[in-house]
Amino acid sequence: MTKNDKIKFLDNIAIADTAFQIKGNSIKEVFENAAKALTMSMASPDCIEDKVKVNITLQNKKLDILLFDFLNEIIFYKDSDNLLFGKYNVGIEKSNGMFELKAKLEGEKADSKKHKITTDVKAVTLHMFKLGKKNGVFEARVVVDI
Amino acid sequence: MKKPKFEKIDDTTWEIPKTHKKGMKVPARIIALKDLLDGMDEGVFEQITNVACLPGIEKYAFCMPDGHWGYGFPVGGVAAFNIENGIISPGGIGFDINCGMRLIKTNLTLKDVKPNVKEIVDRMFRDVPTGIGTKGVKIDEKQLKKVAVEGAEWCLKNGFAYDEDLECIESYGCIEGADPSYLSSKAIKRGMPQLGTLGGGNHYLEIQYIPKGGIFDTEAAEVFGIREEQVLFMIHTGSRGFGHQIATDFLKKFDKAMQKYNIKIKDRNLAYVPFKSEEGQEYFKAMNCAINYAFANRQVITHIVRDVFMRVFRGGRKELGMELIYDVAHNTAKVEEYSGKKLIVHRKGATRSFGPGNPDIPEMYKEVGQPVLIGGSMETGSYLLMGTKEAEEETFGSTAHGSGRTMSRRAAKRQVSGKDLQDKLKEKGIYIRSDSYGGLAEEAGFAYKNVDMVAESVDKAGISKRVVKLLPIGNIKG
Repeated sequence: MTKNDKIKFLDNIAIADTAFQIKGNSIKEVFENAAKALTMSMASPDCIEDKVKVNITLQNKKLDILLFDFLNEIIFYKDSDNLLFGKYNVGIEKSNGMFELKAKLEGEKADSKKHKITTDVKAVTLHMFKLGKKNGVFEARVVVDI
Repeated sequence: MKKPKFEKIDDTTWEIPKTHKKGMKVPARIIALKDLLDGMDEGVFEQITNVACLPGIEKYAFCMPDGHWGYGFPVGGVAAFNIENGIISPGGIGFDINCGMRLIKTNLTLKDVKPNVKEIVDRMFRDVPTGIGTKGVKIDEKQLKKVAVEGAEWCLKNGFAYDEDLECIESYGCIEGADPSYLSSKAIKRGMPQLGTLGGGNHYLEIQYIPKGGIFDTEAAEVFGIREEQVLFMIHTGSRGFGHQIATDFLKKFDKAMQKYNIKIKDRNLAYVPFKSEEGQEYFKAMNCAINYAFANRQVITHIVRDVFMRVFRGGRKELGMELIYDVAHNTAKVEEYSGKKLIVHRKGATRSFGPGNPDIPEMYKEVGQPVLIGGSMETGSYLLMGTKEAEEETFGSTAHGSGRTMSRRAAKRQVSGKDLQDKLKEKGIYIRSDSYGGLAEEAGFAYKNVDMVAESVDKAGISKRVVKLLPIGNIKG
């Protein structure tokens, strides 16, 4: 799997917004790549320094909703604290039928020039939202509202 | 996706019969000139016929001429449900609750403003927070909850508005039935820093003028107090992260609640519950908080822009004639009465269009009808129209809101660079400032439908009538 295969922006399924497809060899990789793709929808992750650390803990019975919640947390911090993140470290465990996510995100206060901000994401939608496994590879598809 | 066979009702009304899809309770109707209908993406027809299947729907599921596919409802979708046995669906309102527009006039002419456009736009860009990472008016949680209940009235109490402003806002800037106890802590935290901010995407603040020959209805133009060569400014924004979070919170809650009501749907974005259910009422009360926040947001931005004009032209607000013509919402669900029935009218990328004599419009407009705004791209201009009795009778008092996208954001960026677009518009006499060249390119005029055709469609359909065309000379976007 090349780098370009792991995060691919999809032109034809979100005319007014942004859609991306994520692949990974593990669930952890898919979640981390999805976080990166979300940030890429707004800015340039490579330009974001790791000055601020945020820990996120989430739980859900469904893994796809856990991903939905995780991405919405990133959008939440963008608005509540003006933070953008460039580094993502995600761990997911399952116990008693519940998936638990523990993530450490690193970033800094948003700066339109430094971070090459292009647009603002309002929310993650459930439109064509999916998380699954195909031929041993984990895949997710996400459409965000701009 | 099976393309429907349309039954032509007239030149601007196309019906998809109930037989098109299993489960349709009413037909769907697309309001559009044929060229716009032919250019609509098929997702619109799939989505509007899904809407036609929802319980308690009355008459028709409508899509306006600027329609394109959205989440759940198409953008441009209008549907009304009986409040007793009908439903409420966040997908019929959108993430940006009460995204809307307002138009403020001045007594300045193009000749007065043209030499100063750069200074005005640069000052607006400096003073109106846009995009990510900007902060608005400083308010705490207690104040935010007051904004959520009071809307533009909060602005009046806190020095951002005048009495006459509130008269000229839909629902007088404050909708009843907002209850902040149904807000999540996340919605509160997203809302606190963003009051008085423009946001990004297709939100903008535009200086406009009325070109020679741009008046369609001289009587209505006189009532609205506008004339050729006059300069106005338009604001397009909504409820910011506050509303977006409320929409997200309830999309998830409804996804769960539907199991309780044994509701199964194909499209999760069309999640719905009975309007009178506990969950339905909670969402309605939280949504009303976002509606009020958005009215307040546009009012605070108005205050900032008035200040810019006052500084540049060294005059007071009254001296410069900076009066609000009207503020309209285009993503809401409101309880309204039609044919003696109370209905919950969902407008998703559609504008209320009340006609002459309607008790819910300001006294000064009762003779001609409610002002309606249809926003175009930053290249093509916009329209001010008036509402009609026909809209009340035919489309639950609704009309179009904008020009609708025809091209994806990424495709638009591949066709033009933001810098080239900015330079090209400058040559045409339109001065634009934006935080992001990428974001600017995404909003290029060629990525949108022809706004003239959209305005002509609703005019010919009789659901709102053109009063003036407005052309841009300056714009800021996030």
